[in-house]
Amino acid sequence: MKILAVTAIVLVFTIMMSNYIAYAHHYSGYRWLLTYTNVCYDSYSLSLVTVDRFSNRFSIVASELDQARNDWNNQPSIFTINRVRPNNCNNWVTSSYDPNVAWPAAVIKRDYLGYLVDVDMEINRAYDFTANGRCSTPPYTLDYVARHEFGHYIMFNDVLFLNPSSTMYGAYNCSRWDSVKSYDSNELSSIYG
Amino acid sequence: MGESMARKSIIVAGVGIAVGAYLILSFFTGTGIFEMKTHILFSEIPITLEDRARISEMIVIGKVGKTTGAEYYDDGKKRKATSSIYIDIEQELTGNYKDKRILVKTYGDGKTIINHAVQLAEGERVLLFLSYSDSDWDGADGYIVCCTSQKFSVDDNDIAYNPYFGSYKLDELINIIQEARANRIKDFAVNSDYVVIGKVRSIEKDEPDEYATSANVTIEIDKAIPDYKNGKIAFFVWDIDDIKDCIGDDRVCLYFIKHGTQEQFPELTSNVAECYLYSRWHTSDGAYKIVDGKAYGIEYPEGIEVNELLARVKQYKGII
Repeated sequence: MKILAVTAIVLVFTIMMSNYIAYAHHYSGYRWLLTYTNVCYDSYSLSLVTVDRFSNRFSIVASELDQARNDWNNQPSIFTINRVRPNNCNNWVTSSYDPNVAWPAAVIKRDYLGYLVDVDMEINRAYDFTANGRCSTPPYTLDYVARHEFGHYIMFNDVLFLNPSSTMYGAYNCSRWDSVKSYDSNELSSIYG
Repeated sequence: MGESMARKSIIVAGVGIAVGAYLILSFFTGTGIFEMKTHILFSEIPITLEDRARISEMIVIGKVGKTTGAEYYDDGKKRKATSSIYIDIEQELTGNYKDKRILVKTYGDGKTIINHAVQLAEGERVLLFLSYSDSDWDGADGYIVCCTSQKFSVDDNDIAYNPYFGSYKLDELINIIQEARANRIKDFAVNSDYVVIGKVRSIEKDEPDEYATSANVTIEIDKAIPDYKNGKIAFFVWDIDDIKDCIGDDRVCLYFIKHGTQEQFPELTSNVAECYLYSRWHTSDGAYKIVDGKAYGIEYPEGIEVNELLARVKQYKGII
């Protein structure tokens, strides 16, 4: 009987710890109800973003966003973020102009009964960006920034520690924001399958 | 027996009605278990504690006061909220602010819209790094506290904590900040090849496209460190808006210029000038506008006498 009780305690403790390790400072606790969500790009405000030394380059900005979005979609998890036409869209990617602040991008998300219902991303066009896919600072590499933001878009919070390597490290970091890391991918799978 | 059953039924019915009313009210008012919460998350530029200290217009230690109000914006695509809060100042570390209170703004309203990067709780003792921002939305104009790197929480034992920068004894942190600020302009002086004062003589776009933002800028030199013989120097700017305060016949600026094209951008065309404007966090960092003998820029938002700035540059470059 005693052995059984000790085994049960150890088992419960192990399960609790494994959850703690997996979700420590990373999973926001909210998820989408379904295994996909939709996003639209606001062509007007995104055409004001300066990328690769040009403004009025919505197609390049959109392509950078797609690259980051597809990096999440190409993970083993069944969860996908689909780009849809703006009609009846809830979740937007837009831009704003906020000089003298330390954020090149932000995500504003709304939850209801434990589920995400509306998530918007803002690119701060006070910063210049590049679309060359290489580490750059400044200007900042747009698909790196978008990759991190789409991580928020799904469900993750920032991590403020450098280990393990995560796309969700809170400050722009070339070696962490250049691709979705296995730490993030595994967690995504554990939530949505 | 019958009476007790009836009493029980009344209690059960009462509780049922109360729970039902609570659920209905919560549902329609969006409160309680039906409360909708909004979360704001910022990605931040990479910055060290020392750099944060160097570029801040004000650094205040004080107590967070009451929230004086909140502003909201929602156009269906973008939703924003900021709240205004007084900080009762105990100490200001830059010398740029004399009053005992300052009004700051932070994103979110602290109740239903939560800023996950930084929160200011009433009564909390904090050290804040502040700079003025002039946003395209009036609600975000002001001394904005947006980001994790801007706030240290200070406890009763004078231990200051920031999630990125870690824990410091408050006096140790103040020393680090003051030492960093004493070395302002050092990085720019050491890492740039020329520090030039002058007027913009010409601006030539390196790309013919009307939407190109980059350009080669030629400066008529008034002064240069080290000496520059030609009388003019051309450099590349990523975005012509980076020097917008320097364009005009009556405008004089100081520029930190680095020789060479930016190796990380091999796609830059052969039209690009042989020098470029040095930058750290933003492509405009290397330009300082000069007004009434003072230079204003990223590390000196409050201005510094041009002669003093040049003396510092010479000192850091090892030029006597």
